[in-house]
Amino acid sequence: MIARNFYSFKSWQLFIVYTFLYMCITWLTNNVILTDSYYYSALDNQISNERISAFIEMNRKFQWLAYLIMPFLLLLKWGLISGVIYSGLLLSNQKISFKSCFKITMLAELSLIVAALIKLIYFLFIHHPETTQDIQFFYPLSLTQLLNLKELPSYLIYPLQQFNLFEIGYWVLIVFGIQSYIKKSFLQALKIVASSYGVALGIWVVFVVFIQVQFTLTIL
Amino acid sequence: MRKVLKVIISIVAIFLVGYLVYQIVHKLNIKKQIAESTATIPQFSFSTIQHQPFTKKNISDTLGKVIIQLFSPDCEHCQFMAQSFVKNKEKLKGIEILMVTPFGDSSSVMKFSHEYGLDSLSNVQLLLDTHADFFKIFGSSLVPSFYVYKNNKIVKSIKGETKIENLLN
Repeated sequence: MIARNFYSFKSWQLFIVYTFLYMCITWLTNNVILTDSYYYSALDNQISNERISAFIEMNRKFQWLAYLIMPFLLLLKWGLISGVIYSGLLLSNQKISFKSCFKITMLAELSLIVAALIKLIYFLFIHHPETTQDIQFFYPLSLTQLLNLKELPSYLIYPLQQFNLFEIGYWVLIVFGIQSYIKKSFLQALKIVASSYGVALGIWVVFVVFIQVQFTLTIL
Repeated sequence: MRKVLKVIISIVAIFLVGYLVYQIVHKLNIKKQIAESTATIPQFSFSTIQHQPFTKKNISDTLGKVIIQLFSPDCEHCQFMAQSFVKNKEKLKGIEILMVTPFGDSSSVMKFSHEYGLDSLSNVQLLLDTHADFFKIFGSSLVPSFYVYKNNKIVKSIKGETKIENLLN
C-alpha cells in the first residue's frame, strides 16, 4: 500500500516538472556548454572560421524547435515504453491498466534525469568539452568509462553506453512499480520487465547500430 | 492463446534481431572489402562532360597527388568547396582533382563548373557517374566526400565540407 502511494501523483504535474527540467538542461547545454568558443575549438580543424560562424548562426535560428518538440518526444517515449510493458504484463496474465504502466514509466524516468543532470554538471564544472568526441563519448557510470573508446569502432559506443548504473536504476524503478500494483516477487516482476522492456531495448540498440553502420563512410 | 502469442512474438523478435545483425555483419564485410580495394586508386569508368570515357588510365600521374571527390551540383557544401578550390588554386597546383557526380547531367555540371569558376582550373576534371558506380567502388554516397591519394596510396578520406589544408596535408 505504501509503495502504491508513490503512484498516486497526477501524471500531468510530473510531466510539467520533467519537461521543465529537460528544458533547463537543454538551455544550459546550448548556452553555457556549447558556446561559440566550443564550436570554434571543436570544428577548427575541419572547416574555416567563416563556415563555423554560419553554422552557429543556423544552429541558433532553429534551437527553438528542440524546445517545441521536447514534450512530444517525452510523451512518445513514455507511451512506447508503457505499451511494451503493458503488453508484457498482459501476456503474463497480469491485470494492470495502461495508465498505471504510464505512471510507472514516468516515475522511472527519474533515473535518466539524474544521469542527464550529472552529465551537465560534469561538463559545466569538471571538464569543459573541446571536441565533439568529448560529448559523444561521455556517459556517467557506464561501461564506456572503463574502455579506451578511441580504439573501438564508433558503432559500438552507443550499445556500450547502455550498460550503465542509471539504466539499472531505471529497471529497478520499473520492477518496483510493477510490484506495487501486482502481488509478485521481485524476481517475477524482473522477469516480466526483462521479457518486455529488455527485449524491446535490445531490438532498439541493434537497430541504432544498423542505422549507424548503413550510413557511415568507410573508415580508414 | 496467450502462449501462442508469446511464441509468435518471440519468433518475430528473433527474426528481426537476426536480420539486423546479418545486415550489420554484411555491411561491415563490404566496408572492409571497399577499404582494401580503395587502398590504391581503384579501377573506375566515368565520363567527361563531353561524354568521353574517363578511366584510371586517363589520370595523368597516379604517383602524384590525386583527389577524387563525390559532389552534387545542388549541394551547398559542394558549391562552397568549388569556390575554395578556385580561391586556393595556387596551393592546389600539381594536384589532379577528379570531381565525380551521379547527380545531374552534362549541362547542369557544365553550368556548375562555369558558375563557380572550375572551368578556369586545368587540374580539375568534372566527371559524370552515369551508372552510379561511385557508391559501389568507394562505399560513399555522402556529398561532398574526398579520397586523397599520393604515390597511388590512400592518404585519407574525408566526409563533408573541409578546409583545403586538410586535403593538402
